[in-house]
Amino acid sequence: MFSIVRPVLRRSACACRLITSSSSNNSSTEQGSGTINFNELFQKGIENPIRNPVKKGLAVCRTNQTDPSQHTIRHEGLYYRVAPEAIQRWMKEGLHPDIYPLFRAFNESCLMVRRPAIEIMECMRAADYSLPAIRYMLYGRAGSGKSSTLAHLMHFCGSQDWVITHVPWAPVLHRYSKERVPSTFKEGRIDQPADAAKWLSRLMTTNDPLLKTLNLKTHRKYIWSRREVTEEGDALTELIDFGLQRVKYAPDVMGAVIRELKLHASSGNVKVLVAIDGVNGMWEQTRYIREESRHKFFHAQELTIVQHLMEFLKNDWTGGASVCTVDEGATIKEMNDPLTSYMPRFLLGQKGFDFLDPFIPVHVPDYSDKEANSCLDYYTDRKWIQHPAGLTEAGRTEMFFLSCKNPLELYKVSRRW
Amino acid sequence: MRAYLERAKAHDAFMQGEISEYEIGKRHLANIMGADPDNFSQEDIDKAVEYLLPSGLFDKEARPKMKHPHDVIPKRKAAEFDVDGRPFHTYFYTAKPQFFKLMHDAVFVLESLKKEEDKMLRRGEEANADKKIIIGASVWLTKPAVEEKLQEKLSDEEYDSFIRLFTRIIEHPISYAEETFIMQYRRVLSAESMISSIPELIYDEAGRPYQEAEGARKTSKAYVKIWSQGSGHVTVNGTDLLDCFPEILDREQVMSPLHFTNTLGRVDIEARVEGGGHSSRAGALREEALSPTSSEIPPLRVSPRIIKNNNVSFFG
Amino acid sequence: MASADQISHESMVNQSLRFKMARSSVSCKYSEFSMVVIPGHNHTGDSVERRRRPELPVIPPREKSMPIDQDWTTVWPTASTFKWSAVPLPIRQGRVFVCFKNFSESNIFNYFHSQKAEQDGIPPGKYGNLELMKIPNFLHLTPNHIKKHCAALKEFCTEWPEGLETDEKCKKHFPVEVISSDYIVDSISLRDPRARTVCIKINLSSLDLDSHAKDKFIRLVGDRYNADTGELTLELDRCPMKKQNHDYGIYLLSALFKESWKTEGWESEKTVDDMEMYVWSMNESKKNTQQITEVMKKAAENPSCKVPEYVLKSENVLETEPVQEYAAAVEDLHNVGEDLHSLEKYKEQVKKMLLAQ
Repeated sequence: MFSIVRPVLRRSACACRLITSSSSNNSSTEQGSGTINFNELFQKGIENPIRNPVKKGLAVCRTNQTDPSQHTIRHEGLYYRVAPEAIQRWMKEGLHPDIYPLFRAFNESCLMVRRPAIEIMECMRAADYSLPAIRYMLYGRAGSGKSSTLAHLMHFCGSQDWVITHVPWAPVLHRYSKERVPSTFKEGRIDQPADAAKWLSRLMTTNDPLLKTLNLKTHRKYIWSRREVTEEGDALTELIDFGLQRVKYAPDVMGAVIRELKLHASSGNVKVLVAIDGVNGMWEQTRYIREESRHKFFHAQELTIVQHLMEFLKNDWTGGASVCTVDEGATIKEMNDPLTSYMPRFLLGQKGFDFLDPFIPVHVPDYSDKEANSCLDYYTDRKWIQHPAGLTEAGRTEMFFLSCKNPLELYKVSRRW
Repeated sequence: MRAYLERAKAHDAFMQGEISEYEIGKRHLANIMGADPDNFSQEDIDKAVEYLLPSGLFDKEARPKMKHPHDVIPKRKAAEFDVDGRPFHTYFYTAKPQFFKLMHDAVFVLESLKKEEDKMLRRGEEANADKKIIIGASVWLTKPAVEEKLQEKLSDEEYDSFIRLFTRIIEHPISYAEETFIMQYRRVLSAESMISSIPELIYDEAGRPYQEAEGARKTSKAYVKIWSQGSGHVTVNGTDLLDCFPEILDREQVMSPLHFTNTLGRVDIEARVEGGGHSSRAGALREEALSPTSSEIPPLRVSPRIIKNNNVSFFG
Repeated sequence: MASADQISHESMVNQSLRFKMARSSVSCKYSEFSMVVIPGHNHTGDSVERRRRPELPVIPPREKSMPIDQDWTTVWPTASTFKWSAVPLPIRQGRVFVCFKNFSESNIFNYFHSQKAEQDGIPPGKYGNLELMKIPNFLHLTPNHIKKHCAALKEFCTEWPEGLETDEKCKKHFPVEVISSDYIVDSISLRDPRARTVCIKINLSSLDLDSHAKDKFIRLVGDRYNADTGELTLELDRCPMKKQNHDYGIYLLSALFKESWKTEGWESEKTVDDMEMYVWSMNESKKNTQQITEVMKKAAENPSCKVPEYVLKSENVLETEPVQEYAAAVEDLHNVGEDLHSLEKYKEQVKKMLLAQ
């Protein structure tokens, strides 16, 4: 056994990483690429003898099936490569912030194919899109990979030419919004024009070529002011552009766009995926104080954007699906309270549950043995794990023990090796 | 002198009377409790007295008891004079004969060491550094321990002079020549780890061996069950390790004994911890997880982290 | 010297004797000197030696003459304070702090000449030990005593009724448990205020109640009902007499039972928030299901549409098996509690309901 003297390094995309990983970049084939050349390692001057090295040449941690629409249970636990364009389009936000430096350090971006994603894909394949949209709910404890699964599913739908509307983190709407004005459309509501405009621009970037080729038209006339009118039959992209130019109307434009998308999806012109991370934040108190009292807060349900998103989450339309996650971090409840739970009914509350019911809850568990080994194989392949002890079975056992095979924790532990 | 001898005689007679009274009382008690007087042990007596004369006094010493006179009556020093009335001990009139005899012997030892050293110097030899007594591995006996050994009360000044003299002896270059004499007054520290007994294995219905133990650190308490032939599965208070210890330092604490004994991933642990904060909980678990796993390996003497934290410890 | 206590006992006797002797010697001294006689002041008659009462021998304590196979129940028949002379046991009680400061330890002669040396450090014996008299004793309740008591009581006992051999059988035939206490106090009054209290216990499962009646019963009794054991406990102490409290308790029990079976007009106003259980048919979940099944039914007119089979089979979709199972899963999720197992069940049921096989 090794005495565990670990170099405690905070490595975030350091230069040496990029150099070491670039060499193995080209050699990623379907099987057997996740191995290391031990002789080479020894030549580089690592003096510690490696006892019990991980089986040579057998580590399978990748698949070359980069098309997520082809992913099945056969690919479980394997990494697939996501093209940089796909990252830019669908996963620019929403993943754990630590993963982006990791992508840069690895000189590639890979996601693991995991069982929850496969399960939802199977359901999506089996579903009939002339029936009301089915809502899927991902739940699991912190760091178990809910957002990554959501990203995988967005990639899955996006590659099949679905229109994707993504809210990377719902609680942002009621915590950090800079600009809030009373709604002109409906009394008692609060508009967040900047956030709405951001959502619209995100919709454009996510679905840019698709929306243009589909050339969707509006179903009715929208009068914004005396001069500004969107006629019936105008292009949807024009409507979105209007919202982006006249930020004042962005929240209302957002409502109109959602209405139009629902109508188009119901008439079968397009399929729509609604992806919302931290959906339980929509039934929470906001951090915005009321004017009459310092101790009274607005409820998230009073925000226009939340109301529009709720319209999208309803199942009164067909030709699409919603995938949401519930997260402990999205509530204002105490995180370390022993009474908290990551289960959907607890996090959504009675009102949220009543609104979303019936939905399909999908548990995102921690890594299984196979997945955890695959993950460490991949890290080894990318030379992320450099300490010789980290390449042994004993080192792995230690990492698994310390992280309890929780994906985020495993990454945090592995970064010390 | 006569008075002294009379006293001694009287004491013996007194003790004999007490013992015979105890024996008769024992038979009476057995009769009262309806038990067999021949097989009535001290344990039965204690139980019977507790039943007949129940007392709720906090100090158990102050409750009624019926013990053998030898256990109750303090021992007197044996006679120190012969029949003629002469004291046996040469240093009797120093009032602390044992202590002053010891000091005398020690000075004699020191002087002889000096002479021996002079001889060696004259011969041109040097002290053998390999044989040198390792001072760090043992400590001087404490004052009560010395008193116990000598059967005499010592003042602080006397104890200090004892320590000073013996320190001079042990610091002498050839003190190893008198190692047996010196080591009589020193306590070896590494004996601590040898004392801890290795617990026996328990088997459940399925025949799977496990061990139970409990331990504490600060205000935390831990109760642990360790199953061998496991797969490294850990449950703490019904949840897994990550839920119970979000800090990685705490998880490392729990891991360290398993890591040391090379049982990581080979035993299943079921633990319950209560009280205290997260780090003391982890500490309690660490002390705990250690003792059962240690049964698989020889007693641990080398690692300072593994030895239980006694107040006086060589490792600090 | 048999015991330390005996020494002190005998010395006490000797002391009183010595005192008497001293007095008599003083009277003797008058005869040795010529005395000034003042008539009318001092006694002029011949000093007559006062007759001394013959000294009785000190009787050894009773314990010394006890045979070791005596019948203890005759020695100590009833409860009594501890008597050192009647208990033949060398009992000691008390804690002694040995204090060396009083005796110079270094001077061995002083130590051994001191009076206290022999007794030093020994817990006090039973002679004159007040501590032993303070604590209660059970010398009157030894196993032999209890055997005697039982033998004496046996003739007053009757046979145990048949059919009530076990506790379960007793509980079954006599579900109502009444607990009361009697107090015997050595004081001027025979009454004790605590004796009036009556406690009535009954398990709710032994009452014939339907779900509504049970719900109402539990609401009426409030915190007197233990949900974990299903037991109702009524503590009755408002009347001055035990019998009155008992009668009131039985009346209360029957009143509660009757009242819980009644359905009042205002009970129909109960809303979902007032429910202590989640009932699927009263909640949003049912409305959602109704809506979605209607849409599915409409969509089924299109032959290319993959609709779950149960929607087409039955007129009333909500009564079909998948929907009912789904409803049970939702109720389970709320009433039993949310865990991975119940969520898994809920997922399966939703899948069955929404997706065509």
